[in-house]
Amino acid sequence: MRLTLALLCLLAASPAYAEQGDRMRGAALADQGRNGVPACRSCHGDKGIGDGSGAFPRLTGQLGFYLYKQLKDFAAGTRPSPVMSPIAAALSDREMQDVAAYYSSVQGPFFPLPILDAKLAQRGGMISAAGIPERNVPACIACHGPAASGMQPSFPYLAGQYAPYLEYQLDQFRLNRRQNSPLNVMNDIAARMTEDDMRAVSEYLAAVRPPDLSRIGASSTGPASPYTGAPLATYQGTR
Amino acid sequence: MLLLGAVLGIAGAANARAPDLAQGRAVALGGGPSDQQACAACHGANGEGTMPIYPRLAGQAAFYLYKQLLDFRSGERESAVMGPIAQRLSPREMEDVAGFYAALNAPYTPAPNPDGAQLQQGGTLAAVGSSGRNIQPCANCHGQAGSGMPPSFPYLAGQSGVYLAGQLAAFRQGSRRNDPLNVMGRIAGQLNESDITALAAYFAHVYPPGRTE
Repeated sequence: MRLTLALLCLLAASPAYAEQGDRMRGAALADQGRNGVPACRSCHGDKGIGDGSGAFPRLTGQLGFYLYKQLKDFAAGTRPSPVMSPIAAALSDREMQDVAAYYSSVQGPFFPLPILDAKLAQRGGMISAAGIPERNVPACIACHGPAASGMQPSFPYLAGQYAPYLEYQLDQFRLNRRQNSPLNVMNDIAARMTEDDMRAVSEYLAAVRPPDLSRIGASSTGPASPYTGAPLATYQGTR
Repeated sequence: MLLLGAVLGIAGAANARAPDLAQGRAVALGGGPSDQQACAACHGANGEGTMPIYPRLAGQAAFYLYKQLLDFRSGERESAVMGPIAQRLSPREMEDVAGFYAALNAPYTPAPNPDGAQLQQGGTLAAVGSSGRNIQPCANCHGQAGSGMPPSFPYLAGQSGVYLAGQLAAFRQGSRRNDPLNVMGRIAGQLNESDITALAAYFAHVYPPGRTE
């Protein structure tokens, strides 16, 4: 399993994306678009936070390489979308890198959560953390990172993503309409999930908020973390 | 340009006096000078709408609300319920109650379990329209994600889906014709049933403006 994961990471990290996109140019494209390319903002909202509906995914702080690869895949058709495919096809490789770099660098607020069904959320939380062993569904966090907050470079965060979007994507994987995950691993996983599983895990993940790293160590109770939020350079002298 | 002129022309006819919010509240709760039926009975004490067929009024553009009341009274916008109510209201009461609802900020609770595919269909139409089918994006006039453009263009974000679908159908059939230059009639004429359902579902799930945590 570990070997497979390492292999997946290698396969997924294409040398084309060198994390060198220009955030400022990306911001301009995201907010204003250009001739032939509508502004990303018109659907994905200010700083990529969406509009609360779940029609469009949250892009705020999403992994840069993941975003870049999705644009590539929209253009290539391995992730078909009547809306995104023509837009991505109109973008240059450079523009894809810029706009991916921009969204991966921004932070933004969340919309208030809808009222959660506690039983559904608990079932979803179990799937996320432990998978469904009897049907060979692995835990989401095995690839998508602790608290499903993403794993560089290829596995997007799921925590705080919109539930209707997540559920729709799982369904697209299940139906083999979306075929752009490394080794088609998501199609395989989604095929072993029921509709109820998909709904439960989507509702749960949408309610998870990324840990606020800036607060770690700032609390007056409990053991202090060595990292207090000061620039890392200040620690260089301490051996 | 023509459209802009029409909008400005309407806005120019607006009242010079500021609405009296306390009077507006009295009208909304059924204790106004004309001894009205309480708006709150259907539209909710905070303008949140008590049932899906009644629109949300909280935070809606005041001039839009005022104009709808005028149109209900004149019959320009037909409604068996709102027509007689508006006929009993004085223009001053209309101003006050419109101002009152515009100032409210009601809680918003999205309905559970939306259909992701339907949300995307509606959301895309709302944000970018369809050039192939000559459908303008809703966002052009109603603001990004339907957040509204006062004074004349109402917000759609967080509005009741049942109400929105009903209004789009009314514009399409021509039974509602009280918007500037019948723009909505023309747009709704290009929509099919599935578009209307998707748009209504989408806007009903968009958070009303200014509601991030």
